[in-house]
Amino acid sequence: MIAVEAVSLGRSYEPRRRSTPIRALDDFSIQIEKGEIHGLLGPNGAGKTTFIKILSTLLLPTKGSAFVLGRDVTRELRFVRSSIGIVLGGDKGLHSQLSARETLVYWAALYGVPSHESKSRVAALLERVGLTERADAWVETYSRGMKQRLHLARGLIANAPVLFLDEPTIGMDPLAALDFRKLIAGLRDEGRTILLTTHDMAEAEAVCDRVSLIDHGKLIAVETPATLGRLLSQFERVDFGASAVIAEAVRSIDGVTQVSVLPQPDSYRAEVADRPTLSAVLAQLVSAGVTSVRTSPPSLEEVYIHLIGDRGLKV
Amino acid sequence: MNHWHVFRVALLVGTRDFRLFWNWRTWLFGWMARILTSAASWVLVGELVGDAGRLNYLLIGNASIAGVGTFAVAAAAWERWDGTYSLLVAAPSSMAPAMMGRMAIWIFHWVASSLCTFAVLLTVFGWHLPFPALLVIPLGVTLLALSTYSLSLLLGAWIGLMPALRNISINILTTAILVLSGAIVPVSFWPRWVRAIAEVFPATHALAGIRSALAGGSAWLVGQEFALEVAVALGWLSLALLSVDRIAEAGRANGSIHLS
Amino acid sequence: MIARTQLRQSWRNVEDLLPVIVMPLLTFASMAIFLDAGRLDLIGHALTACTLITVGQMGFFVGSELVSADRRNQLLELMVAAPTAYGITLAIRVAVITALGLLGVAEGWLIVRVIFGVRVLVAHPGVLLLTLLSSVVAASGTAILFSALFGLARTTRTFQHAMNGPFYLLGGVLVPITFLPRWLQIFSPFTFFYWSAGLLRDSFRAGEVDRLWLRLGIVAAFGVLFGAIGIAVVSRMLYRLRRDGALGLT
Repeated sequence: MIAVEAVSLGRSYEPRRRSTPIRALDDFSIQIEKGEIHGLLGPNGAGKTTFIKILSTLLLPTKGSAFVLGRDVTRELRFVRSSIGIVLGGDKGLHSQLSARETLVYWAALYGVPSHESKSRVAALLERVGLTERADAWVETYSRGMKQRLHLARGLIANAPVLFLDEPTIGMDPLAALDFRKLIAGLRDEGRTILLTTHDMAEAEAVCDRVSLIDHGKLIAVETPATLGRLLSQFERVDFGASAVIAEAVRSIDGVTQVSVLPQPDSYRAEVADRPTLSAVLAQLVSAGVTSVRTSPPSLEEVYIHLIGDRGLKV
Repeated sequence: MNHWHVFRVALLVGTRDFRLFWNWRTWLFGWMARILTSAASWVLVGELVGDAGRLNYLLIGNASIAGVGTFAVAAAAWERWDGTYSLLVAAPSSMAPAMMGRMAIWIFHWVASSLCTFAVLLTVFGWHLPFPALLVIPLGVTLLALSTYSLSLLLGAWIGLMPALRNISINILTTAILVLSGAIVPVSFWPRWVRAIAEVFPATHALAGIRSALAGGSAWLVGQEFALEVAVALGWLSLALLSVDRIAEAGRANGSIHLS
Repeated sequence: MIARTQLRQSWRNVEDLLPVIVMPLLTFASMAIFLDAGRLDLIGHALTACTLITVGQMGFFVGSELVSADRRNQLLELMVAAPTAYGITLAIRVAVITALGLLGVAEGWLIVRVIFGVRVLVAHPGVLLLTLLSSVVAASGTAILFSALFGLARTTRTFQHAMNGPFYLLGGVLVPITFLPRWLQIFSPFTFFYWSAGLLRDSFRAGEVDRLWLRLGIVAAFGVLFGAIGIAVVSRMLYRLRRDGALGLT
């Protein structure tokens, strides 16, 4: 069953003093299955947050449609808003002069949680995210990690079946981020659908069932993290330690698409187009007496950089 | 949806907003110093123009509206700074109870400002008012504070979309109250179209009721003016309640609602 | 370049221009009272108040926030590390902001002329112009001092709110100080508003302007004196911050 769907979704902005509209989303189509944790990866300005805003009913598309649990996000606002939880990242999105408990009570009321249920649900959520002991301290005294956990609890207050997490681990230290990912993984077991935007490749690889790459408002690829690497290289790459002469010899083998220099001294990476070429490269290295050889699939980060392109500092 | 619950917690947020601005010391020696000197300046204009009756007129008018209209509208902008505005729009329930709750604390601030100003100016200018009439002042001031709050709610809905204009709108609101409500000149001074606006503007009728009471007017006349002030308050409140969510929805079309 | 940058920045920021936009609206109130009382001769008072309150607010509320804003935006450290002395940069920026307050004069004038249909006659245009300029100097100097106190010495914000009304009342910007109790009038000459207000009202009135250069000099002297003290306070405070390690890059 499809939990979240976009069909040729488009959103343009007309900036002042410029004639060409900016296309934040351009003919964007995607389907996210129920119970899936789906990652949305892309550089700043790619359209990730624009997509989340449309799904959250905060922004109207200029073209196409989007659906949450089969309901149109532009027309069936009440149903959609009752069915989603939004989890922001960072310091914003919380009243700093409220405690965690007061915050959750507030949003419980806004999401129509009955008063008699509110207290117990708030207590359970605080326990789940590990904030019980600091539940009555003001949010402004919380660490970044604690605020993020409160964000998650806030997003879960209505027990929504669909969650949108917008860069939730931004600014978190590695341990806090790891703990947070465990919380997210736990949500999948409950059958919730999660759409997660992130820059963190490790996070996407660790948590997501599938990942979509987006750039300039367009969908570039949708795959599992494991298979996404195959877009870059159908077969494994060969990392080897050898002299430049040997590296040149490998480069000259038919079917070797690229030999690049690795950061370590006298280390290279050969990318191949097919299995026979892989065998030929390995044979060449063995015959040259090279013993430091390793094969590996491309990482998600490499795929990202390769597919998004040499964007660098360009805006 | 439990609107009262939302209102209560939002009021808590608003109370803590207030405490970020003021404690009792800064409120008395900072805020009230500003309000009292401003009101006194206008009252002294009565002496400048050489008219004792005008001095009393200006005293009652400026004391009644002292501090009224300040801060509340900005509460909508604070939801933006907190990053909670978008979350309020995305919630299934109306934004109105949340906005009303956060703004409500400023009603107390306005009433307290006005009553303190009355107490000080009446003492400084040596004006003793008859006791029964004095009781009308808190009631009148409360009513004008409530009608100003209602209009502030409507303005706040727009400020949620355009938070950069919060301070301009507060200043225009307070100036409009000063000029239109009869605080400084009778409403009859203005052209007809301005008088029409003044009739439905906060404070006009409450102030007329206060003046009538202090001049020994009948309870019926005073009651009539206060009833009209209540009607003005309810009118703006109705408009605000009808508009708050619609105005927020306008942000969906122009992309002005940011996620954080 | 510093002045141009500050001008560009302030022009784009509606919060910086707030006093220019809203303070002159008080002219509606003063003009309404004067006209209702049949006192057209007091129009000079209305414009005097409009001018001085606008220039004053630009200095006290916008200009005096510069150091605090630099700290908040983590620009202070970067500017201190630059070769140009921060005190000088601050003085230029404050002066630009305060000078923008003169736009309020035009707005007040328009309200009097267009809305109320009253002609404003300036008997001494030269006096008016010189008083406006020296008032900007005085307001700038005062704002530099306040900026240092609010931004670096953590002087309570109570003062920023409190000084507003009392300065204008004491200075007689709307109502001349002769209407204040005698014991309060003693303090009036210690504010530049007192001297500026007197000169501005004289510029609208026919007849000789008494002790013109002395009074102008006093107004300007306020600015120079307070400005110099302000720059000295800034230098002292920054030295202390550097000594205590309170200036950081993150």
